[in-house]
Amino acid sequence: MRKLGKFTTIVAWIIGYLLIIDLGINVIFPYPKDPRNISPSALALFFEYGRSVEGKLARMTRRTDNESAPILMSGWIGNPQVKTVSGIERETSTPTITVYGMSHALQLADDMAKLGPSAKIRSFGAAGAIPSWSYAAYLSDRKQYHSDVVVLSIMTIGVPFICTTSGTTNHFDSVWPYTYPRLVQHNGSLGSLSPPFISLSGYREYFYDSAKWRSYKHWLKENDKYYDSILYRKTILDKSSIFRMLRRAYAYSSRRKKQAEVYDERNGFNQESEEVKILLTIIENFAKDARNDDSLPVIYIINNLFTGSHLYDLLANTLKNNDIAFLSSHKICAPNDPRNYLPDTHFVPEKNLELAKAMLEVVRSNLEDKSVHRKKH
Amino acid sequence: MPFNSIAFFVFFILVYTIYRLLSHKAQNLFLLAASYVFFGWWDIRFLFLIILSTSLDFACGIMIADGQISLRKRLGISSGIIISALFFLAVPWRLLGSKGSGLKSILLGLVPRREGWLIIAAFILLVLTLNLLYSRIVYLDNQRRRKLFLVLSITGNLAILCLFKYFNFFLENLEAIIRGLGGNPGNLHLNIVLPVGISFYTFMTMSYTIDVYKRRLSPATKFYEYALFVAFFPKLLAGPIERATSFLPQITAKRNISADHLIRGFQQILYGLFKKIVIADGVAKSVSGVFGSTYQISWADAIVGTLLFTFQIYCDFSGYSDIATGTANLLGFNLMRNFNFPYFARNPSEFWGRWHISLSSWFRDYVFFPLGGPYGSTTRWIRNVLITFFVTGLWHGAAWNYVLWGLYHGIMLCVHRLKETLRTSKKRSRNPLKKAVAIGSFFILTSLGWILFRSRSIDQILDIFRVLVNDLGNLKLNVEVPTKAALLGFPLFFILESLGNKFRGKRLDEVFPVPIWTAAYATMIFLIILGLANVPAGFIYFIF
Repeated sequence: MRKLGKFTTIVAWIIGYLLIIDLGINVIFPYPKDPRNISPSALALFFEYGRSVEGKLARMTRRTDNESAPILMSGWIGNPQVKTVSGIERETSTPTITVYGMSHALQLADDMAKLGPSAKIRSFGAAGAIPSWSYAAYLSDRKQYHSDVVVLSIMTIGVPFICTTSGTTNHFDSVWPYTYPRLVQHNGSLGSLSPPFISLSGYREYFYDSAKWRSYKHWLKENDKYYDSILYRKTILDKSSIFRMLRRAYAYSSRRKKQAEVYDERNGFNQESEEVKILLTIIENFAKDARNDDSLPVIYIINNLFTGSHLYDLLANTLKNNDIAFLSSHKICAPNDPRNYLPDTHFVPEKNLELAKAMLEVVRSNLEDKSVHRKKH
Repeated sequence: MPFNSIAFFVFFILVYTIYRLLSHKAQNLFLLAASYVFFGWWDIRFLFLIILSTSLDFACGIMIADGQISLRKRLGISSGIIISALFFLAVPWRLLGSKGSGLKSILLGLVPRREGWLIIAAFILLVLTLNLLYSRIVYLDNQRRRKLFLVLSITGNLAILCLFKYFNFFLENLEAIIRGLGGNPGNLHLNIVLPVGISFYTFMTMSYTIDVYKRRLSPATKFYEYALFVAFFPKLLAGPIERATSFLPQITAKRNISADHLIRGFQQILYGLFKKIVIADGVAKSVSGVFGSTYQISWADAIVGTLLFTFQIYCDFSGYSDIATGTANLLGFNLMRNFNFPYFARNPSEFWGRWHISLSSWFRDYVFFPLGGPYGSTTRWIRNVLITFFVTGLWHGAAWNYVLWGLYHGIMLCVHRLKETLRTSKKRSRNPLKKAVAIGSFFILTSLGWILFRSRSIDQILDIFRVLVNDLGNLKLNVEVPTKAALLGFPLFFILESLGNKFRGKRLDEVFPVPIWTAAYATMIFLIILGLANVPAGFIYFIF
């Protein structure tokens, strides 16, 4: 009985201290309540990472754009925010280059605009965009706008998430509600399943209607490989910083396992995975579609830190067989040299500028080849 | 199934619950089965090796001590080897399910292939030969027979170790020599998987037969008890390298799990997890960034990378030992202490009494002393020290950098011994400043030694030392910042290590009142949760 009492006392003290730590974190590092505040302190953000997806969405979503977090507007294919990067008006004869992809792609477009006065640069991006999103963005944009050159950006760490359908499942620490179709590959051809909404207004309609939101979650469960109700569902535990960290640990562990089925840093890509097959088909289809539109297709391969040239190695044959122009970052930024990267996975500005220069060169030489080819015929 | 995984957590809860419900004999049998499940989880084929090694030393132990084995035991051991060869080697478990999902397809898929039957045939032949030779061996003169079985046990164990751990190292060096002589040896490299923990259990089984031979120990009479000594899962993969003299009696005697066992167990597990998950895993990426870099590192990179590795290797390995010891405590066992705050050592002699104690004492007792120990002429004991440290280095891995690391420590020890013999006063200074300087200086020397240990090649070692000399003072740091958990955990770690050293390894609850030590453990729990999102790195010592 005495032993039990001693044990209970010890457990009570430890639980008491944990409660104090939990409460202390919430008090000392509060996350800003106003969704428009986009610069919380690093630690406030850190302790927020483990909040449920619904909890994070609730924090950033309001009924009007003015009251909501600015990032909420990003990545909607239904109401695209295509940015014309070039500041000055170009002559009609200058080619238009449109870059599709994640922030790395947008940075490339910005630097291309700085360097390339002889081209009109457009960019269509989404935070953390993965290849399925970029391809969907291209398909949507090509209906409304003709670009002479279309650049599809693909990043190593994005490939395992090809079978996701939303920015709420392809990332966990930070989420974005934008959606994109679930791609499926069957006998070499690519099919797609459209999500219930593809625009911000559609999202708000679902988010503020509990029955519709439930149906959306059901759709995610059926079609999105990374949907996990433990990570998604908002619960009372969101209020505890310790439970938030536990959820984050669970997210990392469970998602890491799924990612490793497609890619790991040591062995590279699993060629048999559905994601890899879809990616290769995306590239083939992208090149075919672009050529049908009389556009020059270019693939921008972004090799992340410590991933070597795995992505380039994976795509090399497909690019060669289909005669697709490309730029692979590993030739300019050694992927095993941390000095080439910022802590948030982006390239350091000098390297980004070098990449932009190289991309303009790829575009220039391929456009020249194209015109020579045309003249011959 | 590493200790820091959910699989182990579930496994241990299941094992512990059932274990507490069983009688003593059933507990031992159950622990043996659980240990084999734990080991087979890595690769089912490893189980054959451990059973072979166990059978060999169990039989040798009896033959050394008694001169004969009963027919029942011989039959048991012989059939055990053949059945385990069939079950763990010949059956193609890896192909399970690849031929279809029906029961018939599964059963057909498990039928051994041609090479499987060849393995079985080879072991049947080996076992038959040994049994036929048995009738002759029992009539050998006592001393010759004892020596024969000691040699058989040691060569058998070393052969297994050399084949799996050192064979490719030997081939690589042979290739280099042939190339150096102008020949073209081609690629001699064999595709051999290194079984986890092989260096640990092989050394345990060898020490057992040597102790029986030296009459320090009576041989185990029950196979399952001896097998549990070898395979006891908390210490199986990375030690401590237990001695049969202290561990076998804990298996044979009835165990009483006291409240002290539980408190000690939980505290050790928690501190071990803290060291592994928070510190070792928290700095793993930063260390890999330096030692795995393809770019020219700066002086600051080399210094910070080396210091971080100094703490990573300690927290990784001592963390494992703590979890192993804590887990064993919960089961009612006491494992030997493997680490005793080694970075507070003032000289190499103290360091090796504090670092990986179970291994250093093993080499002291089974290599250094048999070579003549510290006795005889100066050149003789220097030779003995260097040989011992050469094999200590080689034990850590089949590569020259480990050998260099071993020799580095051997040389430091020799220099220290020579310095000690030249000293006029044998009294150790009690001046705290002098003590701190001695600790600090030896810590720097230990850290420099870790460069030899962690580098991937001799070229890299030279590169890093070149940077340390030529790039002196270049403070441009490219090392990835350790995780937040590690950054927050380091101060607590330093405090706990300093207190542990000051109070000579006493537990916090033995020194401080409940409100204070529980605060330390609550903080540890918090930091472990924080560190759980780290990418978990495998335990470094598993590969040794």
